Amino acid sequence: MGVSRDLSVVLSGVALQNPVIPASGCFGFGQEFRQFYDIDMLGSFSFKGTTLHPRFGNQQPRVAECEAGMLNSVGLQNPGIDKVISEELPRLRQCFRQPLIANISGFSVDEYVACCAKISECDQVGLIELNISCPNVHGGGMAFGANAACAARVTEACKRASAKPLYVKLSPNVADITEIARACEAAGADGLSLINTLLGMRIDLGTRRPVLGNQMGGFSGPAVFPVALRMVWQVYEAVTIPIIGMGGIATARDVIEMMMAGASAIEVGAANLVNPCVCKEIIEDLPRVMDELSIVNIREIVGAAHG
Amino acid sequence: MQLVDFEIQHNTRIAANTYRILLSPGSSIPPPAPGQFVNIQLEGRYLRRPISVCDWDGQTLTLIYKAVGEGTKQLAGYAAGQRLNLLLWLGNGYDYSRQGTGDRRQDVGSGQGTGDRRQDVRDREGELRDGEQDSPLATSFLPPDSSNIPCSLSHPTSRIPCLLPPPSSLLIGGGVGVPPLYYLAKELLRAGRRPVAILGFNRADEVFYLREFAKLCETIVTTADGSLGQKGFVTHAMESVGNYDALYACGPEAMLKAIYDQAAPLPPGRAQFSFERRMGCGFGACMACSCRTLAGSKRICVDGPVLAREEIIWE
Repeated sequence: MGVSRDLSVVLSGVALQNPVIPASGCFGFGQEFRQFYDIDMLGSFSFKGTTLHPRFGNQQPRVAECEAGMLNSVGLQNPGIDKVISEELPRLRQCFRQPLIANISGFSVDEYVACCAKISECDQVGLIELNISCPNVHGGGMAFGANAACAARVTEACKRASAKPLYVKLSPNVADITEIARACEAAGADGLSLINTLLGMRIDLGTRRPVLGNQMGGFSGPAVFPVALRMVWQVYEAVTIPIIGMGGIATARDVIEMMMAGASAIEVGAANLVNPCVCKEIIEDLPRVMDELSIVNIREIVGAAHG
Repeated sequence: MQLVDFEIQHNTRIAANTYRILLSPGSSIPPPAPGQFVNIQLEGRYLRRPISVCDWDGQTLTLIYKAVGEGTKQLAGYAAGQRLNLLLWLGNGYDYSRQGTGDRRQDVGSGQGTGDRRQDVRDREGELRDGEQDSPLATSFLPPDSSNIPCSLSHPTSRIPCLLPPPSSLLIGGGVGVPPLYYLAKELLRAGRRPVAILGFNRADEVFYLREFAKLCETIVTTADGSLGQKGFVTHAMESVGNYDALYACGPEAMLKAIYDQAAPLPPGRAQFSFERRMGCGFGACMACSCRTLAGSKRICVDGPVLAREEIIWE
């Protein structure tokens, strides 16, 4: 064996050794995975969604199983941006030298802006990924990403505050994701990442109550792959900025498929929870799959399915 | 922590809706600490299933589980020869070090060779039996009258006859909380302690591992309906056990709370409770199993499942 292929990709000037990026919320700040493999082999990873203030997160239970997937309502448990900068990033410096993706979440435009400004100072961060699926406390609790105007407003404010390329992570729980995508591009986003989780729920037949303590949660896993793929396809046709695609990816073939739909890089989320070695396995398997499909370097297939 | 493929050796029903599965690893692995668990991948199920270690003898892993959900029902149907992928060893386990090092894995057998620890356990069991038959409780399930038990029997390492037996380590298990206490009992014996086990079940047909525990130590069984052993709950049986200086509990949260309320005051770290939470990854990455404690937020899968009494916040 030992087929080698050029896996490198570039996102808004940030060079990555490969397109495989663990998704936010599924990789912590990297430490728990070090016992399984050398995380420095990843293209990057998107760290746990970080807010201005520390958050404990939602009421238990926070997970539920589904067919070919799972629900989560963790609720953005994180130590707050200051602790991330003062503790998690220095800890990572010793074991991870790739550009980091800083996933920033918030409940008001001001919070997002404050976090973007702070994280922009950190040399380890390559890109900021703005999680706009959070509810806007000043907007009746509706998610920022639920309508184009809100998405644009938070994008524009954060673009002004960010010294790093700004990628906006889109919610799929909308009627037309291309409308949101175009609004973010017009507001100055350097790139887009999609999809975040689909809103779902389960009911316990014995207790006759929702399984999740928060009633509803985010659905992820292989079952969402066709939906995610479709949305990447649609957004690729609607904007010219780069797309990071995610949603149900678990294999090297899924990576190729998502890139053919229009993704310049991909994220792997839930699959990390059930197979902690999945990203290592994907990276090691990509050359073989590319060989089978006569792909010489991985960048050539971005959007290839659009003809 | 690692992913290891196992092969099922046996998978049999041992009580009502309760199964015991013996698994052998495809590669050499270090021993677990008592109270740790494994996360099992099941074909067609997305999330792994976390199940506590019941026993490990250097070659065979024993798990006992109830078939209560889709995953465990599926597991109950697997036959010998089936391969399973396990993530192990997860969680912090019980801390019986007495040195307060905080590293709960240090007391476990050094893991030199797969045969050593099994031999150790047989020696320990042999020593207990030397000169006397099994403890009276092997055949009787009445509460122990500990003052009747000669010091040399109840604490084999003591040389000097004494008026009272040394303090025991009290193990309290409820239903499917019982299995991890079995491996703990073995490890406590290796460490020269005197375990006493109180095993609580709902009914006689749910009772399991009575004989196995009784071979190791004084064992009291309770059933809520009185169909076997003492009628009532483990908390009733606790009243008759005096002089314990450590307590290790595992079982339904209501039971843990009742024990927490009733347990004798013990020094910090000496009363430990194993909790359950729905889990995502099982190794600390996803924050699905977080709980609030007086020592801050803890993930039950990696900062637990064992919590010390002093830090527990009851929700």
